[in-house]
Amino acid sequence: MLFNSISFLVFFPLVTAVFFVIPQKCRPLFLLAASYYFYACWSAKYLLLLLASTLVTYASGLLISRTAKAARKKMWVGASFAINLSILFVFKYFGFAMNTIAGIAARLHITIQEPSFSLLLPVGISFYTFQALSYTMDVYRGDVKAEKSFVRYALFVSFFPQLVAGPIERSSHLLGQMSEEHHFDYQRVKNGLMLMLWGFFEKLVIADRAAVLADMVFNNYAVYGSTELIVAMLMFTLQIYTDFGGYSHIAIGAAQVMGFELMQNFRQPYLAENIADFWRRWHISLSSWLRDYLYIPLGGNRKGTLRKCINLMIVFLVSGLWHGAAWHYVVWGGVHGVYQLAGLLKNKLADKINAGKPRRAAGFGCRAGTFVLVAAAWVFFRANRCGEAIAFLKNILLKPNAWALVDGVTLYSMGLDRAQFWLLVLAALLLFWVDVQHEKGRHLRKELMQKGPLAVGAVLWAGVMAVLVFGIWGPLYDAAAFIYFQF
Amino acid sequence: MKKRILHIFLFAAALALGVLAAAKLTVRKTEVGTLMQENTQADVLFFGTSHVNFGILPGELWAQNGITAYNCAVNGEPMRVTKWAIRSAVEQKRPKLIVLDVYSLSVWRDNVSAGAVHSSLDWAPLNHTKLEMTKDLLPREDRMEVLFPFARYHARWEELTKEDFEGKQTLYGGTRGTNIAQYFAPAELLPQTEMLDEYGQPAEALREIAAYCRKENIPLVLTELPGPNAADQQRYINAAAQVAKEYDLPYYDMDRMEIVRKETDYNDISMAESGEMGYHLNVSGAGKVTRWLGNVLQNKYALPDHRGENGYEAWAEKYDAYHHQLAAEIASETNLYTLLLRLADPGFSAAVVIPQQSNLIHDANAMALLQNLGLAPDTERLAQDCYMGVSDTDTASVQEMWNSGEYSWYNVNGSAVCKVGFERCYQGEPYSNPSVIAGGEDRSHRVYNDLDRQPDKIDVQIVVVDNRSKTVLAAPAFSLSSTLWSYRKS
Repeated sequence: MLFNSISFLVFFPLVTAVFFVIPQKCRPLFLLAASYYFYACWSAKYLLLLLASTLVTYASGLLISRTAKAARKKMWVGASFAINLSILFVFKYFGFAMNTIAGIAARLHITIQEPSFSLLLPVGISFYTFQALSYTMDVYRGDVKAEKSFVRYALFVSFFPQLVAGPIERSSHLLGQMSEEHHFDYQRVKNGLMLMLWGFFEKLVIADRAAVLADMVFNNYAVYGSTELIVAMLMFTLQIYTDFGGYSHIAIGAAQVMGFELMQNFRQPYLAENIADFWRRWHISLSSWLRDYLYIPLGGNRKGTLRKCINLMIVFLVSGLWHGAAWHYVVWGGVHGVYQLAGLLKNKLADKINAGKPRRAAGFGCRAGTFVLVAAAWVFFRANRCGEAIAFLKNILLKPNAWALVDGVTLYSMGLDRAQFWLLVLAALLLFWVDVQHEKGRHLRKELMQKGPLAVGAVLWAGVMAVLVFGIWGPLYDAAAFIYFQF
Repeated sequence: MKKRILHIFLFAAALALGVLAAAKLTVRKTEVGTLMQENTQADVLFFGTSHVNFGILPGELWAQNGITAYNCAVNGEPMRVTKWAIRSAVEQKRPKLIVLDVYSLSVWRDNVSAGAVHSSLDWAPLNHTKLEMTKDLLPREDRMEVLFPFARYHARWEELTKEDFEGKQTLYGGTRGTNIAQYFAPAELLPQTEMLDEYGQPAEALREIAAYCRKENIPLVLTELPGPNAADQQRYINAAAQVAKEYDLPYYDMDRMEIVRKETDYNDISMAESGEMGYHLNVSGAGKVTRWLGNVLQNKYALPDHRGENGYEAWAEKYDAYHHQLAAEIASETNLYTLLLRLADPGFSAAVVIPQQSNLIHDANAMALLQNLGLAPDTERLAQDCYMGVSDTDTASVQEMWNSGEYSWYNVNGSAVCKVGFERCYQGEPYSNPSVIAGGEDRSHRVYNDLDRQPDKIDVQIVVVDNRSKTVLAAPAFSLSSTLWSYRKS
């Protein structure tokens, strides 16, 4: 079920209420059942895949911990990775691989008969697979002890707030919480609900509204001029942040209500000083996973600059591939890899030129420049094909029409009328203000709670009413699934 | 702990109030909703589709018979939805009589959409009846939006109008059509025994309505308002005859009666590719149907005449406002056909002046509309004489005068306040001008006078008299060039 659905608004309070009422020892099993029900609402048959991944990694943890031999440990790690990645490959990448091979073969004038079956992508498979595999590695490295309780381990893999779109948790952070006692705490629950409300605001008021414009222009980009294309690019940049960030906030907030702490997944990413900084702020759970389980095992930056560059490119290409089984995702990852390499080079040159002098703090220009680079890269993410993305970016340069910004018509003929457009701008400005405050180190929810119940009540009331009135929900709209569900 | 519970409760209450207020503001306002929320009780409620919306004028029922009535019809309302509209309305108004038009037996026969339910029943309160209704009409996934229309209408925040804050203004419900349509000859009228689908969903809904009215002890009358129907439409509609027989209900199939005139009484007529006919009556046709039905219902059901009764002052005021509205529309009307149509209302009399050699005689529509008022000038005599015809609806009489006839005056509404006639300009001269005198010797409403030597030829002038106030509302003149009538304010 989607977070932005009536079913979830009934499911979540019910599950939370029962969770706090039943005895502590029953809670993991209850939450596990609730999480499996949550997933089964998407697809009951793919629940078997989730179970399979859970069983394999649970068993691998026990087997690894029971053997002293390094080679055997590696064997179990290898088996766990092979089985899980095979499942991921079959369901997510098989079609892509076959298309690619057929495409290459066609260029070589070789005809290949592609298999005709197609499999529906199980929701969240990339997320829970990585989360489960991280446990295998953590046990292998000795970072965590193998979990003996299948129920607690299964709950770690399938905990419903973060099951289908992250954050991708670490066993060292979340697994232990499954054994802890969780008590009702009024302030913590209030905090969690406020975070969920902010997440719904991001998703329903901003992301789904920005999607209307972005979809209209991206799906028919050839007829639009530079202004519309730039606006659409910015709208998608806004959409993907608030869609994914909104989901994460709802997930973290929901977990917080029940007494679980999930890792922060976004940290004001569009205020990043450079691309490297951007990836320390965006989808933190994935980028840290790739750092810890791919980049570092590949050698990281320990084997010289050239190897570092190669490792970085591999990581970003894999990141792109993780996001989707299509070449434009890979290219998107590659673009960020190139950005990283360019950043590295730039730093090396700067260090040589300014030998001994400390680097200057990043100003507005650096942040703005980083934002532009990130926004341009998103075009590859959103476009249906690489060719479309390139043409999109080309048209920004080749079809200037700056007057469209002020003609009073163009801006409001891309799917959003005047009122909707300016509501979106207002909401985006609010988001920007919140991010800037967080960047300055302020903890807005904490500050609000200190102002007393009237202030809290007024802000919450305004927030709920804003989501209910201005949110994109209800029968006039298709409930727009969160973008990251497709991964 | 108690404080926290209080805070939570207060927040929940404030939120509930906010949502209720937003829901009330954003829900689409309808005329039926406004009527149902009024404090007044109506003896008769009319239900049906746009045929009834255009075809019944409750204001005329009050003016002619003193019957209190509302027009609760909704455009495109399927019979299955009408069933629930009636039940919800009875819970609010408890009428003495329900009149149901059966046209919807012939159309909207598929599954009911959430949109159709919204159009008809957004006003209905959230209660057991509404719950039953959603279960009866809609698949599970559509029920919530009908039970909580805010789910659909919250997005209307950017299109709120005065109506959303003050409610949709209406006196009786219904729409007044002021066009005149070219008539399509219908298919041959089939016998009532020729039926299709008399046990289909719409006919079953009609039976359920009949059973419900019987249980509630409210007499039900079935009607089929006049209009051209294709053969298959007739076969579906004829199922009403069978239901009427089964439940011993009166059924007035006006397709078989000569109540309206095809040349003047239809607002619009269209034929779909499928051959289905669509049509509505205009104010002239609706007036005739309403007056005929009003007399029939009052005689058959002994409906009381509430004019002058204590406790019905609100209805008297309602009719005053209605009449005032009609007067304002007539006074500002600049279209000849529409003006002649509006004058079919018995609240207004008209003196029509047609100068000699007027082009009016070449306009079949205009001549037909004059006939609708009871006026039939001799087109041959118009070659040399000026004509004045008075349709005095107050005394239900028609006077026709020619300028070459005897000098005479006619008092409109039987009063000396407003008299029309031909006046001799010069003593002894055989020269006559048509004139209107209002308020004694005041000549402020001077009608066309060829001594004035108007630069443009006037082809017709119409003096409109308000029967209630006995004053002249307007006296516009019209000229015809080519096929276009142009208006000259008097």
